[in-house]
Order: sequence, then structure tokens, then C-alpha cells
Amino acid sequence: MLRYSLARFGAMLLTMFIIMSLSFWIIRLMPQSIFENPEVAPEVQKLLEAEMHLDKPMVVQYYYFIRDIITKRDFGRSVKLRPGMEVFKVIASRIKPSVVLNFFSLLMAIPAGIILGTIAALQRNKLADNIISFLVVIFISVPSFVFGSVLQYTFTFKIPIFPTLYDASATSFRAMFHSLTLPIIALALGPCATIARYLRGELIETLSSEFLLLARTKGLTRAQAVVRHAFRNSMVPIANTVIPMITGIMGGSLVIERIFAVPGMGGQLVQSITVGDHFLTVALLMFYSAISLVTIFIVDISYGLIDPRIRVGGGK
Amino acid sequence: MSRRYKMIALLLATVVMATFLGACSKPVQEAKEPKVYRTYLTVECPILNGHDSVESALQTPHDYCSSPLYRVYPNEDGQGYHYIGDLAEGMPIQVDELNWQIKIRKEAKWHNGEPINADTIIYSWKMLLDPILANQMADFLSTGSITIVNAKEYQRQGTENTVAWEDVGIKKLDDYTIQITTAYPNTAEEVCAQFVDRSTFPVYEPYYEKGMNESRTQTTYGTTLDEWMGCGPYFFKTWEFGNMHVYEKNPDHWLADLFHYDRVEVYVVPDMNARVQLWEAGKLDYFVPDATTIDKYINDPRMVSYPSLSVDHIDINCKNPTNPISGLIEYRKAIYHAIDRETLARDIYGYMKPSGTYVNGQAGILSPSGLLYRESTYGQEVTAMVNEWGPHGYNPEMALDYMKQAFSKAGLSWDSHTVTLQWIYEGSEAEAKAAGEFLQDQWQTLFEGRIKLEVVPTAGMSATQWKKTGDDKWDLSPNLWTRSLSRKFPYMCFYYYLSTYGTAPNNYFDPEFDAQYAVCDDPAIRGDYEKILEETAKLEKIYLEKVIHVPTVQRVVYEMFSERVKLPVSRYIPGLGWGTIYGDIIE
Repeated sequence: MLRYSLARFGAMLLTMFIIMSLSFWIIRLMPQSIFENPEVAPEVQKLLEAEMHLDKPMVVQYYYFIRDIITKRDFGRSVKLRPGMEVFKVIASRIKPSVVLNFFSLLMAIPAGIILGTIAALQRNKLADNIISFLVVIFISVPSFVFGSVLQYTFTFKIPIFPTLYDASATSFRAMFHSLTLPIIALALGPCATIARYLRGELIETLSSEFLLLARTKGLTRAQAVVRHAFRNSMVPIANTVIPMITGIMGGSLVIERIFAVPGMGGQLVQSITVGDHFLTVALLMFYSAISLVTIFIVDISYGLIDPRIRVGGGK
Repeated sequence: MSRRYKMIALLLATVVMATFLGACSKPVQEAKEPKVYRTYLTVECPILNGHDSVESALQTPHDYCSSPLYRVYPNEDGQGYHYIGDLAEGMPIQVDELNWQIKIRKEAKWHNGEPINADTIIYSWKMLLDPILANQMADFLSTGSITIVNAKEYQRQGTENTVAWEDVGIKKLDDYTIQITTAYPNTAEEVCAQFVDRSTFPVYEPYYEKGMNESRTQTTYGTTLDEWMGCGPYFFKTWEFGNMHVYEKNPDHWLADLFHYDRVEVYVVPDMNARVQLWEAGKLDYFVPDATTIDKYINDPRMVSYPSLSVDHIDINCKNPTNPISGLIEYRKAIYHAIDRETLARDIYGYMKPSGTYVNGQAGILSPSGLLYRESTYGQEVTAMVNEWGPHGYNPEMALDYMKQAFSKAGLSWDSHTVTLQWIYEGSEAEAKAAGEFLQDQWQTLFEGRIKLEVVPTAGMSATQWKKTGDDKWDLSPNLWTRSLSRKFPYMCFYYYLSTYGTAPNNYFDPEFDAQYAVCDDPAIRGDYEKILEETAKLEKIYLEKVIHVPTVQRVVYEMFSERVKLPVSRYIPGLGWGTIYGDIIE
């Protein structure tokens, strides 16, 4: 297990390096000058470019880029969106609300999805299952920003129990969380439905399998058989859905953050590409890649924990 | 079920319930501050350094939390405005025709208590004009309502060192007096007007220098609240980037009596629906509806409107290698006459004014006489010329005829050839997309199916940047560039379409047009507004004859204020606006 984990970690770092390099080359080849400004003398523009090594060939620029990251942990400075600010600081200043928003969305979506999926499977073709299945279809097919707008209209205007916008100045966690509730719910509905749908399908299949019948004949109650055997077997494919779910939530939060004025990471990437803030763009791409890679790593490792029969890395 | 699993199930259920129930209860409300003015920005200020950000949102925190030399202040009758000294003590003192002295208030100080004096102003302006720092807003000091001697030459010299700072018309006479030398004679009001923009506000030297890099090409001044210093009538209390600003009144400010809000809350709300809901819920005191929401509010008694500084127009590429009629004047004229501006203004842009001319509805408002160019006999003559062609220049027959001529000149058969034009727009601009789709439908009929319009969003960059990618494979692009200096000199709205402007959004340049602009810009006629109007009309006629680009819609600004706000003026006054900063809360 340790060897496997180390190998996966190494692969993750290698992938990260490849993404970083690709990001650098693709972004730098975009047809925009960072310092394009008709009000600035051309020699000053050249001076600014020289300072960031932009006057050098691409290969040399790449060398400086890698060297600065490794030796100084310096990803460069924002030129357009937050002029003069280190891109690391730009990201750090916006990461907290995004992480809180996404983390709690998942924290809400996973248990809610598991509970709903389990109820639907155990109550198959009964009223509860039909209601849950109907809601699942709605939650999966309607984008999160629609729920965001509906929730905002309903619970901030018609029944004003939540603030319309995120309250970044809140001094207590409770107050901050209160203002984030609607965006969290809006973001969580889709993933919650996805988990419920997957789990229902897996559980129904498992419940009709022979090993479960054996478990019952051994004298286990239905609940014991479901929780000890069926549930555990059904969780393996669910773990796989968490990866696209996290990246999906990060993507969905771009619009949700805009609707609720959450000063998070959402929109930064698009803005930085649009205005040609190359250093920031590369750093943001790396940030999103890192999140996905870490998630994949955690899920890979967790397979063995969810189901001990799985021996990862070809172990026996 | 074992106890362990029951516990797990219980825990999962508790997490979900706690998330929802915990959030449903309202947190403890803070005591409501008296006289809170609540407004919004649609975009966040990227930084607070007024020297180096073109983002107009920056003006809001600067107006409240910093102090310029002069402020515009509403007249008592609420019908106009005048200048008052803020950091400056009294109006500028005229020494001779070209020299002005400005006295700095002795009680002026930063929010940390340190004094502000002539050295502060000189340092701030020297940095703004620094040739290596390459500040984007330097032009606002060097050339605006007045032109400071050698300021532009100093700033634009780059690394050449041909103009010394001592040659610039900004001098310290004593600790509290500075002298400005202008290139042309000006009035005291014109001198004041130069120093109301955020770029000319003072910067705090210790932070500015602390943030400077080794080669002195960039400073981190104003990137965070800890690296910026205010001196205005409000303290910049909280800057939750991308979410909210809070300004609290500075009772020690020398002009504190003019400001009545105790606190100003500025929400950053990029989403229109969220703004509507805040407004509807009574959580905003100011609101600007857009094309999608204007219908709902158009008859609201709180609604006020006035023509904006912008006339929407369509840039026409004349060098598209894939378009055989690209460079032809007949093609450009056909496009000009093919636009149903009335329908476009009403249905696409939402209660805007159709316009076949380009000089905007505010042009000339800040001239000595205040006569708008569009209302002058010269401006009206041009409008009449356009309306003779058809309503606001729209004439389908002329359009068809010109297009047929273009086809013929390019050797294309009207019966068998089809030309495809590309309408490029920034992906986020819904109105630009809708306008393209409207013309796409209309031109299909108007040009008898011979012109196909493709509506194409620019991928991941602004339309201006996209146009500069080099291959010139675009034909039409909606734009609303304008220049605020046209309020004083109407011809200046054409500035960005001269061959001399570095990043012109067009690629059609005309020597006659350039030459006529130079006539308008001649210092010899600067003091003769009548002559400026006359020459501007000639310039606009050349612009229309050559179809430098195609004007479409005069933007109209619609704004609403809540009933709890008492404004100091009874109508919108260009140059002052509504004087919102001097308003009061009358709950």
C-alpha cells in the first residue's frame, strides 16, 4: 500500500509538471502582449518585458519560469487584474470563500445523496422512491445557477431569511456560513442527485445478488445485511463519481460566485485569460489542476479502505 | 443493525440537518448605523493605486476616502455646480496668462495624522508622470482640461532623458504652495477640473516607495488596504475584495460638514439579477436597470435618465483578405445605410436613442457656454443631413444600391455571388450578440440573400485584442469607445480613430480626416468655442462621408434612487452627476 501510494504520488507530481509546462507554453503563445499600452513609450515597454524575461526566446522564458518556481516559489506577478501583486497572493486572497463554498457543498451533497439513494433503493418502486427519482432528474438536469437564482429570489426576497449576497465582512463563522447557505445548497443539489442516482442503482443490483441472500440465510437482519454487505459493495463506484463532482462543483461555482457576489476563485481564470494576465492564468490553471490531481490521488488511495478486498497496485 | 452503523447513520443525518437548520436561523443582527448610504459597483477595483488602473470603479473609493485638490460641489439652487478647494485652500491664483498658484491647506493630513503639503503633491505627480513607471493614467495630469508644460514630453520620453523634471510646469514655491505652468491660457475652473480625477489624488510616499521594485518599474501601492493611505472625508474601513467596501465618516476632515452619510456601504455585485433583488428588497439606494430589466421600471417615478457619453458604433475592417469587398467605400456606405437604428435602439438596447451621427449627447456640456454640439446649429446641420438620407441614416434602397455597386466594383455577380461577413463581439456582451443576430436576420432580406452575417464571439479575449491578432479576418465589430474630454471639446470623441492613435480599434484611416482633426485641435482656436463647433461639424461630415465607422445608438443612462436619499441637485448635471456623495438620508 505504501509503495503504491508513493508511486501514485510520484505520478501526480509528474502530471502536475506536465500540466504546468503545457499551460506555460499554450498561454505564452497566445497573441497578446502583456504590456500593450499606447500611452507607454516603446522602450519602456521593452524594459518591462526584459524585467520579466519576456524579451527572451520561449525556451529561456520557460527556464526562468521553472527556476523561479523551484528556487523562489515565485509564480510571477499579476500585470492586469491586480497589477503588481504576486499571483500567489492573488490566489491566496480569494481561495478561502471558494474552498468553504465547495467544501460545504460536498459535505452536504455526499451524506444527503447517500441517504436519499439508500432510501430510494430500499423503497424501490414505492412512493418515496418515485419522489426521490423525480427530484434526482430535476436536480441533475437543471444547472446550479438556475437553482441559485431561484433560491436567491425565494429566500432573500419573498421569504427573507437569508442575505442576498455573501457577507465577507462577517466576523463570526456562523454569520459567514449563514450568508453562504444558499450558494452551498445551489451547488450541492446536482452532486447530491448524482450520488443518490448512482447509489440507488448499485444498491438495487447488490440487494438482488446471491451473496446478500446468503447473508440473510446466515441469520443477519435485512438492515445488517444492507449496511454490512450491500452498502459497502455499492460504495466503490460512488467513490469514482466524486472526482468529476469536485471539478464540476469548482466549475459550477464560477456562476454561483457571481450571483451571490462571493469573492472567490470563480471567474478569475476567465478574466485573466481575457485580459492577457499570463502569469496569473498559469498559476490558476495549476491551482485547478492541483485540486483535481489531489482528489484523484485521495480517491485512488481510498479504494482499499472502502473495500479491503481491493488490493491496489497489483498487490496480493 | 449494529450500534456502530446506527451511529454512522445518525451522524450523516445530523450533518445534513445541522447544515440546513443551523443556517436558517438568523445571526445576531448588529446595531444599525444611522444614515447609511448603500450603493454598488458592478466590477471590483483591481487596485487602489489611482496612477495605474484605468478601471473607473476606482473613482468611488477615491471620492469618499481620499481628497483631491478640488472637488465639484452643487450650487445652492441645485441647478449647477462650482469648484471648491479640498486639499487646496481656495481657488487657483492666476499669476499671469500661463501660470497658476495653488495653496495647500495647512490642516490637510493623511488618515494616520501625518501632514500633507506641497512635497506630497509634487511627489505624487512626479510619480504619476514617471517615464519608467509607465502609469496608465499619466495623461489625465499632463493633458486634460489644461495642458501642463512638458508634462507629456517628460512622461513619454521613456529612457531617453531628454526632458528633465525641472522642465515640467509643476513647481514647489514653498511648503504649502505649488505653481502650475500651462501651455495655453485657461480659466480657473479649467485648472480645477484637471485635479478632480483619481489619478491626480495624492499618494502616500512611504508606502509607494516601499512597494517599488528594484528597477523602479512597478509599485505594489494600493494592492491591499495595508499598502494604501487615504486622506478623505471617509475612512476606508473594510475592503472585502470582490464583495464589499465600507467607508466610515472621518469627523476630523476639513470638509466634514459637507458630507452627511455616517457610513457608506458599496457592494460589488456583478450579477444583474442579484442587483434587482437587492433593489427590490430595499437594500440598495441606487440602481441602474439594463436592457433586460428596463421594461419593468421605465414608468417608475423614481426613474431618471440622461444621454450618456457613448454612442455605440460598428467598427468596419477594410483589410479582410477573405472579403472581396472589404476595402470599398461603397461597401462601408451600404453598411451605414442598412442599419435600422430605431428598432435596434428600442428592441435590442432597450429605450436608447437611435443615432446616425457619432458626436455624443454630452459633447460640449463643459465648454465655456455649455452649448451642446448636437444642439448647436452646426451639429443640427449634420443631423439634418443624416435624416435626409432616411430616419437616422437608415435607407434600405441606398444600402442595396451601394452594396450592388460594391459587388460590381469587386467583379462579383449580384446574381450568383454571396459574401460572408463576420460580426465579432466579446462573448460576455449579450447586447452585442443580440444586435448581430438582429442584423443577421434583417440583412438577409435587405441584401436579397447576397450578404450572410456570421455572429462570432471572440475566444477568450476582448474584441479589441482579437482584432489585433494580425490576420484581419473580421468585418464588423460593435464598440462604444468614447472620450470624456469631448464634454469640453466635442471633436475629441474621434481621437481613437486617428492614424496616430496606437491601439485604434479600426484599421481604416483617412488623411483628410486626420487633417481636419488637427484643425480642430489647433491651439489657436482653443479659446473660440464657436469655431470649434464649426470645425467639429466639418470633421463629422468627413467621418460620415468616408464612413470611418458606423454609429448606431446614443446610449441613455437610466438610474434610480431610493426615496430615503435626498440628492443635492434636482437634475443630472454633467461633470457633477447627481452629487450623490453630498446627499443625505431622510428616513
